[in-house]
Order: sequence, then C-alpha cells, then structure tokens
Amino acid sequence: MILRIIRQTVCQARRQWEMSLVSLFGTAFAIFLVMVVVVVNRVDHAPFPPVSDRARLLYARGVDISFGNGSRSAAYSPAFAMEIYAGLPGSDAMAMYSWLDECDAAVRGSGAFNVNLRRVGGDYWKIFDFRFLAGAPFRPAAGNRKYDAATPVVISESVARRLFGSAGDDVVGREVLISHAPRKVCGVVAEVTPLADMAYSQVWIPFEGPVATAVPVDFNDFYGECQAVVRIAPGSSLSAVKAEAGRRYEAAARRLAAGGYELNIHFQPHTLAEFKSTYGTNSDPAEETQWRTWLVYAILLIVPAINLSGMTHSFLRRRRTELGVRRAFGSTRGRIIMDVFAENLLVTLAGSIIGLVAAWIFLWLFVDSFVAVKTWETVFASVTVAPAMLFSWSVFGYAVLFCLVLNTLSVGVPAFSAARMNPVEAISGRDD
Amino acid sequence: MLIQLKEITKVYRTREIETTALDNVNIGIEKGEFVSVMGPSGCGKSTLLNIVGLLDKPTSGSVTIDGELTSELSDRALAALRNRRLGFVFQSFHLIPTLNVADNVELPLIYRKGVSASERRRLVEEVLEKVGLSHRTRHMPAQLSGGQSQRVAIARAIVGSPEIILADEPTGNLDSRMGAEVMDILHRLNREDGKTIVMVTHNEEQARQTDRIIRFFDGRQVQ
Repeated sequence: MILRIIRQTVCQARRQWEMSLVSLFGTAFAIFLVMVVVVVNRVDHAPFPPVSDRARLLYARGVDISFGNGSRSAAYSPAFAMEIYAGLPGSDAMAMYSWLDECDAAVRGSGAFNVNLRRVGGDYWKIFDFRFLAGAPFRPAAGNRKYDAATPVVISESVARRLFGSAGDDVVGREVLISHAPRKVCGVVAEVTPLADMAYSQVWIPFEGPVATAVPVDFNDFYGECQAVVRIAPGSSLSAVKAEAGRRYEAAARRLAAGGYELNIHFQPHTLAEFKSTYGTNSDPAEETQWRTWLVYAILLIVPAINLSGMTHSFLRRRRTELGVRRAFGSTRGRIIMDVFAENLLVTLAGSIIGLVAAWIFLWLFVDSFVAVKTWETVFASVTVAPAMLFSWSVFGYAVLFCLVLNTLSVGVPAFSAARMNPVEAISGRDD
Repeated sequence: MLIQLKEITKVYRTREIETTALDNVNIGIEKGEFVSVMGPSGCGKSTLLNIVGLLDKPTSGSVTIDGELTSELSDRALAALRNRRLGFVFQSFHLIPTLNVADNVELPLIYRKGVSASERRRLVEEVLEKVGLSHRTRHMPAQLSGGQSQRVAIARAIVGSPEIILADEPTGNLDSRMGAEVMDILHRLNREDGKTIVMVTHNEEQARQTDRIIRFFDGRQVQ
C-alpha cells in the first residue's frame, strides 16, 4: 500500500509538476522558517558544555525592596543569597556569581587587554561543567573559606594563549595581572561561548573575603553583587524547590516588614526561560514566556498552511472523477480522507526534509548573525554555536511535529470536502 | 430476484426547479440476466443505473440487492456492498491516470478486507489474462487505446468477482470493432461466469443481443 501511494503521489506530482513544485517548496520554506526560529530559540535552552544541566538550573538575579516613596533593585548579598537558596530540599548544588565585568589582563612587562571577568563562589564549578585544559578550579580550603592558593584565577584558553602563548600545564601557577592586581593561574578552561549564560566569562576569580553568614536584618544587608543559581537534584520537583524558596523568602519579608520595607523577589528562582524574559514585573513570567513562542510557531505554520490548503483543494478538484470512481468501487469517505492525508504527507515530508536541511545549512553558516547574546554587559568573546545546539533529537522531533501539523492544517479541509463529494456528480456530472 | 426496484422515484430539487428523473419505476432483474436499458437522452437511464449501483439514493422507493434492503444502510455498509456485489464500467473508462494497469485493476481489492497482497496480484493477473491484456500490466492508461482502456475497466469491474456488473454505455466512446470486442467480453462474462449485467446503451443492435430491453421515456418505464 505504501509503495502504491508513493507511486501514485510521484505520478501525480509529474502530471501537475508546477503545482507540485510550489506545494513542495512552500512546505519547505514554511518548515525552514519555523526551524530557524526553533533553533535560534533553542540556543537559549539547549544543553551543551559548560551548561549541560541547563534544564535543571534555577536562577535568581536580585531583589527589590520598596520603602516609603522609593525602592531599590540590586543583586543579593552573599548572606541573603545563602539564606534563600543554599541547601534547598530537592537541590544538589548552589552557586553564586557576579554580573559580567570588564577588566585588564596582562603579564608584567607586556601590554594589557580587555577581558570579561566574573566573580564566583559556592558550587559554581560543580554546576557548570567546564573543560579544564590545565590545572583545576579554585576551591576554598577546608574550614576557613580562604582559597588554597593566594588570589587564584581561572582563565580561558584564548586569554592563556594571548598572555603566555600556551594553554597547557605550563601556564598553571604563573602570575597574571588582573586589573593590575597579581593573581596566580590555577586553571585554564576551554573557550566558553557567550551563549552559555552565567557560565560565560574569560577570567574567573572567587568572591573575596569571608562570606557573611549572619541572617540579614537591616535593609542594606540584603544587597550585594551576588546572583544565585540552584541545581535541582535528579528526580526532584522543580515546584517543590521553588515552594521552599518561597517560604524562606516570606520569612525574610516578614523581618523587613517590621521595619516598614516591602521585599519582592519576583517569583524567583526562575528557570532559564523565565530568567530571560522581562525582569521587574510583578507577574509570573512563566505564563508570559511559553505562549509567545508558540504563537510565533502557529503563525509561521498557519499562514503557509492556508495557502497550501487552497492548492490542495485545487489539486483535489481536478481529481474529483477519480475520487468518485474510488467511492464506486468501495472506498468509504474515511478511506478517501486517509488516502488524501497519506499522499499529502509524502509531499509534506519531502518538503520538511528539504526545509530542515536548508535550515541547518543556513544556521551553520549564519547563526552568529542571528543569535544575540541577551545581556547588556559588554562581551569580548565571539559568539560560537556548538553542534549540540543545532543537531539533536529534540530538534528533529520538532521538525516532525511541525510537518504533521502543517500536513493536517493544509489538507484537512480539502480532504473532508473531497470525501463528501457526491460520487455521481464526481464521476460524470451528466444529468440523465 | 437479484435486483428489485420498487416504486422508485428520484426528484432533483434546486431553489428554482424540480426535476423528476425517475417516476414510480418498478423493475426486477433475475440472477444471470443481461438487461439493456434504453431511451432518449435525459430519460433517466443513468439515474437508474446510479440508484441500482447504490451511488445515489432514490427520493422514495426501495432497492433490494439479493434480498438485502439498502435504504437503511450506512455509508460504510453501502461501500462494502458496492465493493462485494457490484462492478462498474463507464463510458469514459475512468481509469485512474496516475496508476498503472495492474494498480487500476486492483482498486476494488484494496478496499476489501482479508485479501493479501499476493492474492490480489494473482486475481489481477487472472482477470487481465481473461481480457487479453496480461502483457500491459505496467502500462499507464495514457499508453492504452480506447478498446484496451475499456478492457482494463472491465477487468477492474470483475476482479472482485461481483455478481452484478453495471455498464453505462460501455461502447459509447469506441469504434465498432472495439465496441464489438467489448460486447464479446461482456457476453462471455454473462454466459460463462453467470454475471448479471445491466447495461445502458443507445445502440439498438447491441441491445437486441441481450436478454431483455427496458425502455424509458421521461423517467417512466415504457416497456
């Protein structure tokens, strides 16, 4: 049966090759557009080193405190970040990191150049799976929070090569001037694309000094330079983790309320998608994020589907005699619909494959122009896209899904219309 | 009685006009009969054939095929009945242009449950042998002559071994020689295989060679 449908579809395409080509390339173009949007969106969500656990991460950017006629928004103090996010039941790691900063990097006796700098702490190196080309990450020495190497620094491969001409073990232990302050290189990591969210930087140093552990009470104790990231343990519930964070937040809010302040953490911690949507509103961004994305997909599919539907209808009108003959020889209406869907699916499938391959080639060549790093910070490294962002089973699954949706939308109405044709009128149209 | 039409009336209604195509027609056709239906254009011959063939429903009256009343059957049941008991031969052949000869002949069998692919192939080869076209199985309809096309259409009509063949002017688009070949095949199907054939025709000569002629005028049976 499948071979017969394929033969018939190919023969039909040859007989009406102009319309078939338009239909094929219309489908391919629709799938191409949708897949470009999917992949560009996916770049924000796809797991790749060092953000392989993206799906399990929750982010917290900062806090708003309102008072009298004013308010202030800023990142967390380490103590407040720890109070809310450290040791949440259902999480297996928590880290802190600063905003991406700029600084000079140099070795003594040579010129300095700008690099991106990030301060990090907690389980940062555990949460983000960096590939160390040499050395190891800085870790606090047991018991006293001071690092086992004086003022350590981790640098990226490109920075290492620019400073030392090498990114190997010979770089570990060497001195580098970060904003004119000497530091010892403890590790070199493979280059990180700016698409890697909070894992991106070119130079990483620890938060300096002891971390305040006292529960913040005063208004100013809540602010600092820390953002937080929590990793959900496998099998744990995201909503349970968020609920516990919410309870801790309410306890902190009650402390502040006693002093006439209103605390707002805007439903944090957020998933990555929520984190990248609008910040600063009081609505739950989870609701805003998904529907907009699917609306774009729907528009990109429905518009070509309507055009393709018209063409399919025209195709089927030319075949009304054939459909009448099929009814005469025992085909039911349901069978007519199924056959039409199956024939159209072949065309849609062929168009989808063409569209998907075209999208991959296009993105492989031009993705850097399409993918923007969503941050207001200055980024010095080039945007690169890992193959894992573009090629994956989920991307292929999206393509198949959209192919089926497009097929259904473009052929549904014409197929039902064809099935309801009166077979007598369809066969001859004579009145006798 | 294999086919029984009782008080069949068919009225076509549009917003402005009402046309009575058939008016109180009563016909019985025995198993194994070869019946011609004749009359001037517009007298209701093809309408009658469409109703017998369960492609159209009468406005009133009943159609019984081998004792089975068809008026209350669902669309699915009617399709199954057409597939098992009826075969159609059209004046314009109506072969599906995108299927080759074998696929065209196989058409009724793909809508029948329980027939394996190998069995379908065997039956197709058998009927094509019968109509003398076994050497054309892979040809497309556009590559056939009129006579060959009609022979393929006959093969398609009989491949599922239906008891009844309905032929709507089967030689209307053929020259006399091809027409004679087609009629020869129909007569053989009737004599040798016992098929009941109802044929609409304008050809008096061909009609005289059948068992009975039913004549129509203005939607009424006149003879």
